[in-house]
Amino acid sequence: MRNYIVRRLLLMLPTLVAVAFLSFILLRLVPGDTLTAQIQSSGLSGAQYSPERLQSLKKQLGIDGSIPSQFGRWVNHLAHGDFQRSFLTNKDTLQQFRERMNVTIELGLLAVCFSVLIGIPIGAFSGVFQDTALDYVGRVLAILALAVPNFWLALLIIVFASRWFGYAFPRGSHPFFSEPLTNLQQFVAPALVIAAASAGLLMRLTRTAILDVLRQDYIRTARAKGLALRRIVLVHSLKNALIPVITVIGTQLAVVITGSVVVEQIFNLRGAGQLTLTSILQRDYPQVQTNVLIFAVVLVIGNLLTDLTYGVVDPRIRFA
Amino acid sequence: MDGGPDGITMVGEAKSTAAQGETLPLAAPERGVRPGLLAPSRLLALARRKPLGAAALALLVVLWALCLLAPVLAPYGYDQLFTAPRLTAPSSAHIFGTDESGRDVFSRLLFAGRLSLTLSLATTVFGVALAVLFGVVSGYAAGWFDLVFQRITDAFQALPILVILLVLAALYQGNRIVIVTAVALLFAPAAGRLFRSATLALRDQPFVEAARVTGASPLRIVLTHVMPNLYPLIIVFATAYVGANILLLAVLSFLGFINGDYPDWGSMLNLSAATYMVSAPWLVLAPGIAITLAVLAYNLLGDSLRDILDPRLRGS
Repeated sequence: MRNYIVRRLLLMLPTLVAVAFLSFILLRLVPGDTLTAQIQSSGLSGAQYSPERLQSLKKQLGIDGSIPSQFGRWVNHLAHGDFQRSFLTNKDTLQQFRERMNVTIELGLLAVCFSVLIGIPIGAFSGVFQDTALDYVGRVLAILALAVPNFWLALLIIVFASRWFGYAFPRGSHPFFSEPLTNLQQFVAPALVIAAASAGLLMRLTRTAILDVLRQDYIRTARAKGLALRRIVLVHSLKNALIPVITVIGTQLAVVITGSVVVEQIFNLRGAGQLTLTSILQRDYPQVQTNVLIFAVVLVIGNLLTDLTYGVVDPRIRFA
Repeated sequence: MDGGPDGITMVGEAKSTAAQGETLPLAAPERGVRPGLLAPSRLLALARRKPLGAAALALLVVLWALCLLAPVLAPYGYDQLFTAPRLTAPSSAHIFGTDESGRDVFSRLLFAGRLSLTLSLATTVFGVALAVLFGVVSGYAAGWFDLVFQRITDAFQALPILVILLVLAALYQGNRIVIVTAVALLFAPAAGRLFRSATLALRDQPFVEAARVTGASPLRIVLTHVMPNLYPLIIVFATAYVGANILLLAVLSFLGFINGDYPDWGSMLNLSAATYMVSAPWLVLAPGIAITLAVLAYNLLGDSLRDILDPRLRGS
């Protein structure tokens, strides 16, 4: 196990370098000098930059010189903890990301909790009561959750909360630890929206896993011994059925990040997702580059943890 | 449509070629002459066995027909202004109401669907073609190529795809061709893993070995012995993938990152949603339901196809 972790950590390095390179090359894929033109039109004033200012901006973005030398310089700066400064605010981009990330972390944690709390029980019921009305309701819910666009769900919640209940979501920043109730009013709905698709996926996976397990011999033995259905499901089936399910939860990190970009904007939450969207819209490239890199690193770590949980939840899996 | 030289018939042929080799996706071989997979009698039997899949297929046919025939069916043009007062509720003259410029929402919905449906299909065809190419080459070539390719795939899987797409869409001013290409390229490596593992499983099968022994070139082996066995997987995967692409493209245009005057379902939500949605909820309902129905239909069809074509994949 330890050897495996060490090897996986080592394998992470080339992936991280590749990820860094991909997020670096992204802004340089643009043909010709479009980027320069874009910088010209960037900034809140929209004023044209003088050639000297343009040169210094290029230098600030690290787009002077050849591509390999640019990449080398960028990585070197990163290694020294120097992320570039934002075009718009001239603040450190890492610092700006840090200021915004708490919202996204809370949203992500809530979303994962919701998807597990909704997806696994409904999926388990569906499987245990296969081909009953309950099962059909569960399956319809699951396929609907997977088909509904998350931004539309968010719009519906806002529209109908307002039309039917005259409800408007609280605005502004309400930290969880000082104003927990207002904070939850802000976060529960967007977290549910992000959780919907994952919950649908978990429902389906749990249902099939339960169906598989219920056909096993040891379940028949348990039944023959006259154990209560509840005990068979909770003690004997669910634990084994959840092995393939748990490992999927880690892959939902990508869904959370993608979801936060869209949903934070709609619900007006000032998180890292919204920061990313606005910096793309306002052509704040250093900020975009930093955010892409951080998201990518988070996803790499998420993938690693996912692989490791396989071994923790299923002792049959040996890491060679 | 009786068994032409298309992909589905080749699936049937592949089965007989490989039946002596190993387990293959399709059902147990039947004795005697059997009708082609697309013969009416078989289709009917399939529809009876998979009513949900048949319903999904019917829904897709209806959606596609409605949208493709939009110029004939739509009562008004997609950009025809002031066909009625602004923001009128659904009525007999405007069954889905009108929007903030007095345009007929139903007509716009039909025209918008043309873009949403065709663009998502184009993205899927392109993406799946790339994925199959990557996966089959990587799986069959193995060795250092495979190793390098897998590390690249790791990196691609760690990218926040929506963010990358937004950046590219912003840099290229919402150019649709760039977006379609980017979606295909970003998803192809991860999707290629599926076809890679399928190829790995096939490459050491006795019938592939036999072909190798007779001196067939790698290209010939891949094209005539490996690929036909992948068709079920490709069809199933592609069908399910269209739904994901509809959602992704809808998000992009909802956020205003796809350029153009021509509407699609996502952009209809973008313009109407922000300002008028509370007073005129029909603006939000119609395009959203259209997207959901289309995704639902593709997903359900994908599920049924998977059950029919590849029982081993059931539940995955």
